Amino acid sequence: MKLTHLFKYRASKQWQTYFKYLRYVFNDHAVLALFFLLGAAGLAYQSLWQTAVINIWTQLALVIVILLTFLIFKGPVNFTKPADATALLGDETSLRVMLKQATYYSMVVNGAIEGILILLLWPMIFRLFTHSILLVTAITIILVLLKILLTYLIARQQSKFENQENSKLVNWRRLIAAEENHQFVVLSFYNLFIDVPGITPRVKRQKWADLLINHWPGRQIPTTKLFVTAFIRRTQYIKLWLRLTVIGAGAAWFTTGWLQTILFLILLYLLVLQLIPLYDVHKHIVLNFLYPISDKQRLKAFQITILPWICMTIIFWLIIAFIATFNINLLLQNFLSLVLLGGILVFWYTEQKTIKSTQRRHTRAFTK
Amino acid sequence: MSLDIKNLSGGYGQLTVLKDISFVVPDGTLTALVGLNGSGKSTTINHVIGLLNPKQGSITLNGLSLTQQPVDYKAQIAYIPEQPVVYEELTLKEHLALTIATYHLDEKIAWQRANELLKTFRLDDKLTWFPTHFSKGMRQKVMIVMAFITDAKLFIIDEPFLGLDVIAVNDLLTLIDNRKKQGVTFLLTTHVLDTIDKHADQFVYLKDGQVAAQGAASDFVTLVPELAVDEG
Repeated sequence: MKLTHLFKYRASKQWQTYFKYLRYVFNDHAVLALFFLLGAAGLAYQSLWQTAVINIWTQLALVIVILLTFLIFKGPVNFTKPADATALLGDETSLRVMLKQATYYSMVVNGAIEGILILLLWPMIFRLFTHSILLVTAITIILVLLKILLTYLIARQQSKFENQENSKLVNWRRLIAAEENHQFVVLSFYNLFIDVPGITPRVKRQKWADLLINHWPGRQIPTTKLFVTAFIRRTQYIKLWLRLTVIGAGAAWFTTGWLQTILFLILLYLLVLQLIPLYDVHKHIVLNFLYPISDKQRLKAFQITILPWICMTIIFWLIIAFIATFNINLLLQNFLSLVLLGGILVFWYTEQKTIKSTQRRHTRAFTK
Repeated sequence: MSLDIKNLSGGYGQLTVLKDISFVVPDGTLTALVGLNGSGKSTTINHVIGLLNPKQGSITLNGLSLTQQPVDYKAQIAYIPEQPVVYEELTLKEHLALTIATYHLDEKIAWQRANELLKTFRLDDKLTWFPTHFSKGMRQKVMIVMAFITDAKLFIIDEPFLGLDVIAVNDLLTLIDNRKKQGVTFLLTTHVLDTIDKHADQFVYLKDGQVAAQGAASDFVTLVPELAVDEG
């Protein structure tokens, strides 16, 4: 590999990796749920579009949604690696070229994503604001250009040392950290479905949750506390729970009838499915398997850990759905469906899914 | 009452590393497991702590079979790995609390013991810290403290001195000697001949996954001359 082709090489390598993981993700039957969810979301969007009231509040809400699109997919990639700053010290020109190309690439990708997001919002823009296609197209182009500019500014800022405006030095350490951060976000997504090697967890102290951790039910099994702590302090799990609970609340507010119930069930399934990797979160820690705890106790601890979170989610969805419709029949229908599926998922499905990993653990060992 | 390894063959997946090894670690002694890199020391340890399933043979500790009574068997061992790996989301205090809970130790006595050990290894002011942010040597000390607060009957220590400062090495050796006097058994892998000479009771020398020699520690130089090189 020539150093002049660094960008091309690393970009293609990265896409190969993403596609590899994507293939694994789409192998799972979760993909069916995702497609169904997508279809249901489309139906809900259509219904919202048909019934949306045109007033200042709905217009304001749409403006906020448009502004929110600026907050996602705004960061640039730079394809740097931790070893670059020292290993390629003798040829920084190549690295600078790669950085430049990576910035252009990010501008195009982020701009395209912004365009797609705004296109998805076009029906609502037409309904709530204007019927002029020229005006909406112009706004879309402006928003895409602004996103491109934002990406460029962030990329430029990342490469500089703080308070050293006149220096031509590139802050490689900061760029490397930014790239690692970017990779972490992408790989964390895959990690929710499959085991992505080498991903370093992010841990936050979350002092506010100490009381919760220390008073969680089932503390007689020591691993319960360990799982609960991991759930809260490894931010990916609590964020996942929060995200899907909020999405479900959205479904509770904007949909009704069987569509709502089915959406709840799919979201609940996705929630449990994505929480199952928590069971294996300590598999790289040799001590975890030395503790005199049986596989049965370990599974029970895991179930005790996720059950209250699932219950909180179900209760929250039921309350929102009831406030939105005041329909007792629908409340009962949702309650029975969610409790039944929740029970199956937490007590049966988790066992089925974790049996494999337990078997794997018994045939492999630590090389460390 | 001891660790008894009989005709053990094992390894990783299809790969057989250990070929019919047998040795006994008698109660209240320190057995040094020695051998060159790749000789099967870590594989033996992985089998003894139950991270690998034997292909043949048996491992028993005080009459308990690893494969038949794994939970009771594991309750009797403490392990200090070569590479300290800690829970990313737990503080030092929470690591110790987890060990106390899993080994069902008396909290008061265990914490008293933990405080003494923390002081010895100069970690007493870092209870609320996350060990994942510690240096390798400090993480190794965490592993040592976690192991030594238990009442384990058998301590398995894999290359214990890597990354430790000289004071910590001495402290660890003192701890080992004291526990040994109380009847605790040790299986320790090491490349440091001085440790075998001064602290071990017997040695087992592994070569190509087989026991090439074993005997009293005092006979090590005679029985394994190829490893008895001057450490100078």
